[in-house]
Amino acid sequence: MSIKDYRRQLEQQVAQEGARAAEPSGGPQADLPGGPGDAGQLRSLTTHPEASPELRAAALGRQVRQEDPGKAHAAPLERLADPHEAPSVRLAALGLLKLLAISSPTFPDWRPMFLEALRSALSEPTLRAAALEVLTHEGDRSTQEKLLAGLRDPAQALVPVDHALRLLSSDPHANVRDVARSVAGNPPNEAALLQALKILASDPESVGEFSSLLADSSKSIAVRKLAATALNNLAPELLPSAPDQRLKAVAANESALAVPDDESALAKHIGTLIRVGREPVHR
Amino acid sequence: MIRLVEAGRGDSAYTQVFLDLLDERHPVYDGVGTATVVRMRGALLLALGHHALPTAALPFVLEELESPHEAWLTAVAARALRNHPEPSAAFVAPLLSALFYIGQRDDTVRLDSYGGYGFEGEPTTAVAEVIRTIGWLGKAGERALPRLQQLRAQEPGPRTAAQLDEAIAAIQHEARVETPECCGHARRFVDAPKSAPTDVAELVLQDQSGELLTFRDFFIGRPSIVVFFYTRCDNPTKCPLTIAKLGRLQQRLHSAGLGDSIRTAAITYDPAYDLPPRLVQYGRSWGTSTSENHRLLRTVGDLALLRAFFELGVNYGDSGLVNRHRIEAFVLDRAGRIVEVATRQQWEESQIFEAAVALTGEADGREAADGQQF
Repeated sequence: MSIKDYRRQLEQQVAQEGARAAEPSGGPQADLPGGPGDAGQLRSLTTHPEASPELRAAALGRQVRQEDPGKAHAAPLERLADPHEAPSVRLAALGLLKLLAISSPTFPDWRPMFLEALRSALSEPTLRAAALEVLTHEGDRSTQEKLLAGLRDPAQALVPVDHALRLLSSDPHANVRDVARSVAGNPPNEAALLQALKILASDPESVGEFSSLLADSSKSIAVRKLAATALNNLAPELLPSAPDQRLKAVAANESALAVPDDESALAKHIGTLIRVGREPVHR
Repeated sequence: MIRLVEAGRGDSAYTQVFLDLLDERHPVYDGVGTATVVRMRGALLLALGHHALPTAALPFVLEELESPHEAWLTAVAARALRNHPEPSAAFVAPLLSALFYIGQRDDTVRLDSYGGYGFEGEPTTAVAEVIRTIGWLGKAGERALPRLQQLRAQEPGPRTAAQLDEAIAAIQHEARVETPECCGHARRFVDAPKSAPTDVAELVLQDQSGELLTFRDFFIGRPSIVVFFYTRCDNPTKCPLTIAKLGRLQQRLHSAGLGDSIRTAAITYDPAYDLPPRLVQYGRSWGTSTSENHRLLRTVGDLALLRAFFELGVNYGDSGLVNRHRIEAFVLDRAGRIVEVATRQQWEESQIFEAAVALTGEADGREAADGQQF
């Protein structure tokens, strides 16, 4: 067997196991047809108007397992794109399509329809978070702009601030720096502050702010550790190579008991950053 | 911008205005996000290709096909190319490149809407537009046939298969006689900037090992090859490919015994972020070697001087990150003067190699002596 065939076989196994895992446990699936000759029954059950959404979601999962890998996406794609379908069925379809996006040999062919279906799913609150994850992972510009609009105007927000920032942080070209700065300056909560700082950790112009945060003992340890990591990323020479006496003592495992836990954790974090950064740079 | 594009769409009186607006250095790109840049460029290409795509716009269209990254722009470029008066065999390679790269990033777009967003208008995809344009080539697309047939044999899915069938039939059944490659869009050097090395001689650079040096230190004395990149570039057909090609060019120089007589440099567009450890890692990742005569560089001086000297086709968003750049490679003589420039479309390693080798001759040596006096 060639490496390519072996890889395809593995991917199909993963997709099948994933489809099985996506089926609701217990109840409905016990009533499902499951034999190799039952594909037609499964297909009709998936859209049967009198079957419960749970049963139809389970049937969809089993149908995907039985279909040819190159065509298995068709039924879940149709379910996801249907705005009149029950949200739980659409969510199950979305989960199946995420798996098929990895394993389907025809994914490039149906990727445009998948993204289109996901964009239409954003209006459904039950689906929104899952759809946003995939769309931002795929670098969808229109989704990025919607998230940015929501950060600038809370009335347009699709998700909470920290969630939106986390989604946008995966693409340095999402143009989110200024919004992150604004959030960091007036954060609605600690989670939003941390997400904003993670974005600014790749912004060379934020070095001064990170130096200040690292030195500010009134800030939480999570914020100060993040500031240290950011400085190590942007201007490692500004990382305190000789922290104050208390930090040095902790780094040397001396008098550790006399140092507050937070300071101890921060000193260890900085010590790790410095140790890793000592790896020589070769020409 | 939208109003201007709408007013001038398909009007030849606006051609030069639109071409000027496609230059990455145009102030219209200062401080805007990447998504906005994509929308603006797509609108400009559509406007230029509304009736008959002018030949002067071909480099911009072919660039989007050869180095595709955004489905909307690729679809727009493919659509615009179909409005060029003459199909040409020279379009085959960029179109096949688009087909190869954008397939993994394909998306539903609407060419009638600004940016391709929304649910209004006729949906299409980048791959569909590219395949349709290959079919439009007819006889001129014959060289694409083996690749199209290979793709078709791989059972790509029903939609792509149908599109491929149509394109293959269009090429096979085209009765027209193939015309010679037209229009002067063949790969070639463009005019070199007129700026003098004196403008940047004292500009301080830093290499991948952290060593500080001036422009004069590295670029005066031997001919050199210079390319530009940045490590946060997310288009695999631009910076990663540029650095990988530079690595192959270095190997070629070494094989020819010219590794010490021709220098190479890759300079980052993003010097504040691309610190030496990042330069090292990036060079290693994409196969560029570094030594005394072959370096990855960032400026620690005034980036504006570098931009002006090389007339770099780059711009930055308000986050300070590159929002758009073209592909660009330069050959400098031993006086540090730019003598050859390849921009926008992929440069060929042999093209750059030969241009640099030509500068190692005796005649150039005399010029170098003059150059070293400044």
